[in-house]
Amino acid sequence: MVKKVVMPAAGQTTDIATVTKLMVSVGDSVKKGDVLLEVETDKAVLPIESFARGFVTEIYVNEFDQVDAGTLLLAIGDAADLEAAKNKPAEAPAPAVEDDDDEDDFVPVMPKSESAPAPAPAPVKVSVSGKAMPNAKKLASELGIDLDKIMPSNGEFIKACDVRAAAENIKKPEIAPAEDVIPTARMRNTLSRRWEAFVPTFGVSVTCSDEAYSKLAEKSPAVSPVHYVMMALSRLAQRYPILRALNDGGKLPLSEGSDIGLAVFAENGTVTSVVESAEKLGANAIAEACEKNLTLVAKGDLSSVRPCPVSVYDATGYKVDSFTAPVCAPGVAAFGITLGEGRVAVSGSFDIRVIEGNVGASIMSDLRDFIENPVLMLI
Amino acid sequence: MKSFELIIIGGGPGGYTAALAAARAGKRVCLFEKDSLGGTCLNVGCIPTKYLLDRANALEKIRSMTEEGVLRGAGEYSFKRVMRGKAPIIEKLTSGIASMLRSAKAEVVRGTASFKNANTVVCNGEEYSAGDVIIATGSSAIKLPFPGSEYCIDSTAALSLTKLPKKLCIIGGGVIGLEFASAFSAFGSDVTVIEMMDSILPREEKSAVDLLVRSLTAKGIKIKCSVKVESVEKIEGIYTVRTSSGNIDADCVISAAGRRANTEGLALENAGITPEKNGTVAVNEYLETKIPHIYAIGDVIGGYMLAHAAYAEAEVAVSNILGNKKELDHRIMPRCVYTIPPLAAVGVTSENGALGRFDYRGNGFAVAEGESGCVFAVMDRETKRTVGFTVVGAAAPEMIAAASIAVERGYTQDDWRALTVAHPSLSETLREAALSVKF
Ligand SMILES: Cc1cc2nc3c(=O)[nH]c(=O)nc-3n(C[C@H](O)[C@H](O)[C@H](O)COP(=O)(O)OP(=O)(O)OC[C@H]3O[C@@H](n4cnc5c(N)ncnc54)[C@H](O)[C@@H]3O)c2cc1C
Repeated sequence: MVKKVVMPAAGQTTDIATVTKLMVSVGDSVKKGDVLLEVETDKAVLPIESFARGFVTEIYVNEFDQVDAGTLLLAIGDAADLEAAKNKPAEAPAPAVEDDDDEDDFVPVMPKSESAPAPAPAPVKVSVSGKAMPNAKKLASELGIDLDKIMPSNGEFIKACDVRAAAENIKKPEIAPAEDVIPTARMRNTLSRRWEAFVPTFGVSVTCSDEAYSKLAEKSPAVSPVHYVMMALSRLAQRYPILRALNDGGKLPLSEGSDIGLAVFAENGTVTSVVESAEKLGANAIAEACEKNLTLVAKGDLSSVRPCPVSVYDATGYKVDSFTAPVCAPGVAAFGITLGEGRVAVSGSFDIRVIEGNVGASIMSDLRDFIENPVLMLI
Repeated sequence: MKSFELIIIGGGPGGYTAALAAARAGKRVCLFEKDSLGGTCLNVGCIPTKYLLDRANALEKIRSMTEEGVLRGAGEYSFKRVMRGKAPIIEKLTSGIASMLRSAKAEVVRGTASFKNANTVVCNGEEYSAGDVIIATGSSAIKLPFPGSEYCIDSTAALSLTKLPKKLCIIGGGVIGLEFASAFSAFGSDVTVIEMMDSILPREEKSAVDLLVRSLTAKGIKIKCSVKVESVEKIEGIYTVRTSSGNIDADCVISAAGRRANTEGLALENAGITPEKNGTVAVNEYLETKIPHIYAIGDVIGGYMLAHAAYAEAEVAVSNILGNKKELDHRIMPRCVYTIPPLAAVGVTSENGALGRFDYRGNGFAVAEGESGCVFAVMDRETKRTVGFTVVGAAAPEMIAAASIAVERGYTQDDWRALTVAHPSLSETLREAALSVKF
């Protein structure tokens, strides 16, 4: 039997939480108490634990999705359920006209990324594994408090408030109160964690004449130097497959199209919004796609935000000589773009674990050729 | 043999309008309908698609209000229930037509009619004769001749889908294809439209079409122009549409690549009429065929394949039958595309005159409704009179009625200035656009 895991109505959380980390994938075997995913509310990070053993048969949410109490998160079943889920026909073909079943097919009005993707079944209560609520366990481990030393206030199981109370009681060394702090939004916290994976990089820079770009810009004023470099990179990535790969812990899943991310400075942190298969797009189309992504991100729609092999940082608005762009795992390279009198400068940062120094240098040298002589992009 | 004064073949917008007009003028009329009164328009065309688009529009509105934070949670909807809601509406309208025909004392015969000779038709084995005949047999979707075209469904079948396709591919970026694209995209399908020409709606105001394409694309509809379908294959329940520029996978493929006049089975040759190569029945400006007392109206004569064109043609044909000579005048022909947002146009585009435009952003009502769009007014450079309008944005099909009057009357800027338009209303943009025309 497939058991559905839904977002619990945790007492101390606000209505809406963000999925910050998916810890399992479809097919993973899980046991009771395993953390399946983490969600973050205004106040805390909540681990969602499995209340059953079996296999993850389906995952209904993505990272960054907003969920509220009752949102269907994932499904856990036995091996047979997993098989069934795998073999589920991709989708019934164009059905013949007859109304085969009378069952209604209610689906959420909002697109998948914004709400529960399927009718939420009667919420399954998140069971208490051990004798503490999952968030209590997490909090206790964060604060270094032994759960065994805490008495549940309801006499049954330990809640986060019990842990907090216990923490109050434990005398701690006086910490000087921070004088002033910048409040960080939930999204920024989530993003900060993204950056925790350290990517060792090396850098190569080129300075190119902007003549070819200027000619293009006369005809297509919507195309910025950054769009132009993105176009060049997308063509280059067809030549260097590594620029289409993600560094997924040693595995290098390759995509056919050149997906190029553009760093967008959103209110609560930088995200990279992706232009898919940019090699198929002309400069104008790339400009348009970026513009569209930008509007979406500005509206809080992060559907274009996802890990991407190559990201581009636009520093053309600043009087700086170069911009060393950070590589965000699982991406493999990032490029910072600056402008000067008659020139476009690009600084490439490459993940040393998957890109050799000579390859990085060769990429940058070819990139300059592309930028200065766009005819080469056609070859 | 039963004898009448006027025989009408086909009970769609053309046929039933003609029957009502002639019967009310005292003619003894017999109308033949092989399927359902109301024709394509009521049963599988204008009305059911507009019903679906109304529901689709509502879903879009709910989405935007949820994003705005006004609604907390958008709830759930059922595609099946939406589809089921169509039938009672169609039923109401078709039975309305039946009762109007009854009270006008027009006889309705159910069955397929075919010509025996120029004055006699046969239906259900019985013969009917009349001095005048109107052919109003309408049109049906054409099947494109590529391998695998049998896997495509037409607009009629698409209106009876009971499951929402996840990935929908629509062949043909004409009015019908685009309307289905908007509806199904709003219902949640991932929609790709394939158009053979280098633009959709190539005859409409270019900037307006660009704006429409941008809006549709922003809703997630993929529109691929200058792309030719080579074949459709079915592998493990998934359809692959092979085109001149790559493959598109879909779980449903709708072919909306045009319509062809219905003349098969009519035995036109017995009346002395040969259909044109493209299947249409040729008529003169009085809507007479080669045989003077046989008229043809509606989709079967080609041209604008629109219900209101059929209505207008019905009025002209009946007027001529009643002896009041009248020529067909299609200069003022509103053309509407009920996409989300819709596009509507009347008269000519800015290729034939001076252009003025007004953006919805400058209109209080549009801003209040959260709608975007633009109005394009065209005036003749010499006569300085209004000769065309295009509206892209909410309520365009409603606004085009007022624009049609202005084109019909040849409004000058002074006329527009003298016109008071209710505030706030989207129609204010018509006046603003007209007044912004620079010669
Ligand atoms: C999906 C779709 C959406 C549309 N949306 C719009 C819209 O929004 N606005 C608009 O203006 N137009 C729209 N149209 C076009 C509109 O439906 C047609 O232009 C209109 O129906 C034409 O009317 P008609 O009377 O010529 O033919 P039809 O409506 O096709 O009627 C012809 C009738 O004749 C009958 N018939 C045929 N042969 C015989 C025979 N031998 N004996 C007896 N009966 C016969 C048929 O059964 C049919 O009922 C749409 C069309 C489609 C397919």
